[in-house]
Amino acid sequence: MKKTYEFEGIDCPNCALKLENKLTKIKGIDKVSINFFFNSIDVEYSSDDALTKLVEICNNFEDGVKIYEV
Amino acid sequence: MKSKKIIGIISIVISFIYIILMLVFEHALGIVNDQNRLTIFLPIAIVIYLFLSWDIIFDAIKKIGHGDIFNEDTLMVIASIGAFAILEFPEGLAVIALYKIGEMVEDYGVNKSRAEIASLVELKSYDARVKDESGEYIIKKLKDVHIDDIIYIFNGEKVPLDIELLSLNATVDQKAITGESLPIEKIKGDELFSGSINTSQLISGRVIKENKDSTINKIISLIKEATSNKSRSEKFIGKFARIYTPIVITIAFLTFIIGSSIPPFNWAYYLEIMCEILVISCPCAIVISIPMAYMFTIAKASKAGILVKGGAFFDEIGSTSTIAFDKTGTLTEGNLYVSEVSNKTISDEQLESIIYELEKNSTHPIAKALTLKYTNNPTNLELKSIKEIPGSKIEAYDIDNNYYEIGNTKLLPKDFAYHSDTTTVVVLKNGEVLAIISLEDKIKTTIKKDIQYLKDSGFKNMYILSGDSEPIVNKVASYLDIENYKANLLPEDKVNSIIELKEKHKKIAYVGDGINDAPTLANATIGISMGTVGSDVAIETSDVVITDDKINKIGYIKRLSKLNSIIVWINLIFAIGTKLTVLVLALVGIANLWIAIFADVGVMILCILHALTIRYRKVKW
Repeated sequence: MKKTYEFEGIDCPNCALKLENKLTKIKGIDKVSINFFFNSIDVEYSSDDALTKLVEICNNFEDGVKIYEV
Repeated sequence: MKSKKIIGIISIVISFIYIILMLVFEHALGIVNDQNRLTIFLPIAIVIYLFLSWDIIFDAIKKIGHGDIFNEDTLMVIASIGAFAILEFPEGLAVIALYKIGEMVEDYGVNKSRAEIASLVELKSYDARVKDESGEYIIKKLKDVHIDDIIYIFNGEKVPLDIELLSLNATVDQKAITGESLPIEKIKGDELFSGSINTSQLISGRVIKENKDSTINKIISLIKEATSNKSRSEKFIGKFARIYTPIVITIAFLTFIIGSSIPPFNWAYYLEIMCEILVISCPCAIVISIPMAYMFTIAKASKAGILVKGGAFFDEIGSTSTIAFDKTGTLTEGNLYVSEVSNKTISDEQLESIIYELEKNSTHPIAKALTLKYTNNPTNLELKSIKEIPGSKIEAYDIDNNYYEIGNTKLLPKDFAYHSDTTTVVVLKNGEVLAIISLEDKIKTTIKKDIQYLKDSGFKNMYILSGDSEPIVNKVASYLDIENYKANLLPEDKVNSIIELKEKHKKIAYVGDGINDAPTLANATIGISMGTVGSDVAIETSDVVITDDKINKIGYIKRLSKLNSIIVWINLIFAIGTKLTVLVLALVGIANLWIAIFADVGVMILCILHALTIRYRKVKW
């Protein structure tokens, strides 16, 4: 299953890379692609719990980082 | 400017004043001694340091709280405190001051990149103007507008959805699609692309595609996908960054620990080395500048009406010097027309009736060309048992059982001498020639110049692949100065030819219309389709979509690819090379903090500025 989110608050491509690495490790997340320039996160997942965990990690990643559904 | 930024700049300026003064006092004037260093210079340095670094210290603490211990902020704080510990106050301030300058340049680069994307996304619309029951104009959100709805667009407004023009005529600016600002005339029944701008009076159109399938949205998704679709360099950087930082940090700490625990326990010396190494532990220069370079290249191409599916394709195009063209519709306009009628043995009306009746139901391009000229049945001829045999002819019988055929020159009687270098159609009745019709397909107007431009851009080997006969293809090839061509190709022959040429030349680009040559496009190293922005098939099967039919854009994309490659390679080599050099110099003890700071911040600033030049460089087309 696929889902796309938009994020705000990540202004450093290095941080986006770190976040992407972190999210890829979540069980149930098959593929994560963060597009830094479009402020989007495209996810392929196989469990709804994984999605919840992903949203949680993103919102706690750094101060001022928020993700929301498109 | 935000107050935080102003405070930041002031603190940086104050730091530099201190740094310069301290260096002058120490080295030029020699008035710094062990006592005033600690009682005067240190406290001042600490105050300036806190003023300069308070936000970085806070961020570092927050990140450690989130579990991110060895982040850039923490490392810079450690390095700067380490510098203070060995009494190098100017260096300690410089680490943070330059780090902050680096961050500002990084923000500038990121803002410019995002502005680039924003300007593309601006071409989208969110609502459209329709009429309600009483005939008043109302604005509706695009998701509430459906196929066959009628929308109205005023002068100067964007066309929000793909429509069929209902007004008699319109003038539009298709810059968003093709990259060119030339006014394009459209007439009733023509398609208008979403994203184009109405430069004529109020026009109305019938919606033909929903918002999610509209041309402008397709273009934007393609660009977004292209920026996500990482090239080999970008993938390499991701992997490199993941291992580089931990390894370098480990080397830094190990050097300090091991070095300080062996006689003569010179901890200050090893602390300095550790700080130098910590400073260069972030691969930010390439992590930021290389994706930025690809993004600017993708955006620049799309502004020219060229959609490339990913950074990797720019790399491939740059290194491909062989190109094959489909003939009809790519080098020629693809619209056949009757240019000559010869060997006619019957009257014009009789010929018109025969041809019209035979061809009127065929969808073949030749039928289209013939029925443009032969539009009627003036003699009221009746034909029955009309049968189309693909690749050969159309046949039929009249009420007196006369046998009519219209087809290619293979139908001519064996002893009938006829040579031609154009598409030829013969009309026969009971095996006897009634007329021979020559059809021409106009070569695109600027094509000779365009092909030369492609050669000058780096495409050394060129081929034409065509299903037409040898003399026809030869004529086009010699006009365009293309030495190699293959004629009489069936569709599967075209695919085999591409595979063969790919083996011979290692890489080959193929240019077609995207609709009829999907397998050939798929087998080429780079498949380029032209003039088919709306077609899903073209977008699926090709790697590069050129939204209009201008062949010279292929030269543009080649030059742009080369520019991108140069910038990416230089950045990679410069950044990695400098950091590794400084690492080695630090380990053998001949580096200092200033060198390390430059290797980190200086390199990053240069790489970002270098990537930014793509946005501003003029590439011809």
